[in-house]
Amino acid sequence: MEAAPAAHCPRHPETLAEGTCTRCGTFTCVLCREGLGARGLCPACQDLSRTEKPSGRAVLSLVFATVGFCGFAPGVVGLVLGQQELNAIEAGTAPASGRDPALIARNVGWFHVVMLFLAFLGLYNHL
Amino acid sequence: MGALKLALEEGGPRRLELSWSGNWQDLKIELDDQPVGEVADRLHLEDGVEFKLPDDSVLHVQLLHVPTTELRVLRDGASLPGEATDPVQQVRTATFLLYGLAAFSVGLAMVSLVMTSKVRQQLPVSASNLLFGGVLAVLGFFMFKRSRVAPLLAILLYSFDTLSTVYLAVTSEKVAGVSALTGLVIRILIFGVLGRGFLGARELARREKQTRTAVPPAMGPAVAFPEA
Repeated sequence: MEAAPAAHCPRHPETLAEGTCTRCGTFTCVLCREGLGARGLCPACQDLSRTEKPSGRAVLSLVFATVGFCGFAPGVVGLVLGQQELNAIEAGTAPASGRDPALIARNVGWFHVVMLFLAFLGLYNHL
Repeated sequence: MGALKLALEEGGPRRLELSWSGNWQDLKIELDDQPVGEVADRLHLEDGVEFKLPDDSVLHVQLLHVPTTELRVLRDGASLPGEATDPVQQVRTATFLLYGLAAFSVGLAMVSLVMTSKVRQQLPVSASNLLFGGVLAVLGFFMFKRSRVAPLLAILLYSFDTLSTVYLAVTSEKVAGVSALTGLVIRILIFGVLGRGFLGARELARREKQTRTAVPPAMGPAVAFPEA
């Protein structure tokens, strides 16, 4: 039985492919992956990810984090959505431009969790 | 001793490294660990220096005092991402600041409400702080959306806050202490960040408008149908 021929990187034909882009599936090599972090995107998808708008979930997480300032409970939803978005960005399935809103939503979400705890503590103390 | 690592494109790896010793002396610039250039004198750096990068682009480095000291790094005339004069970074910093201030205001209100034994007296103060925090968070959201009105409204809010603080300090019989002075300095820094946020949002809006006008209008049929 003949061994299957090794695949070469389309951008660096002299280099053997060592994996595929997590987004479009094209072959990537060591040179492509240099400095691209854990997302495993090919250079073209990296460029696309930079110019894309944040995903709906990223914006929604920030909306919940903002609304959370009036009652804290919606902030917990923002925390969950923000963390999910950050995981998706890390996995390469969401645009990197959503990192900032997701990061704010996650951190503000934790703040809302603490404030919710404080509110219950205050109610318990004063009632 | 200080160091700054910057990416050449938005979201890209931080390949450009600038390092300097005390008081901005002996600035060294490296790209991918390869030396690009050096500036030994601070005065020379204040005038601005230019270096050629391996891809023939021109790197401009200058020390500015606006009012805090910062390093301006431009590549072919455009700010590098993450650098202090990059409009995206300016909007980002203003957004983070507004959410931070909102959290501070709400946190302070909640802690004082929980700690106090005189809830009725504390309630109006805490409620106004909660409201202030909520407004700042909403302004933070619109700052993220690159609104130019949001930082201006925040500046207006903090102007009223500063004026009332100064008025209280002047009319009060007590001598204004270090804490009042620190508060004023912090407010000046807040004004600086919000002002830059406004300038950044304006610059991004201008760029977007420029990009939109640069795109050619939708073309009709390439060949007109000949008249019968």
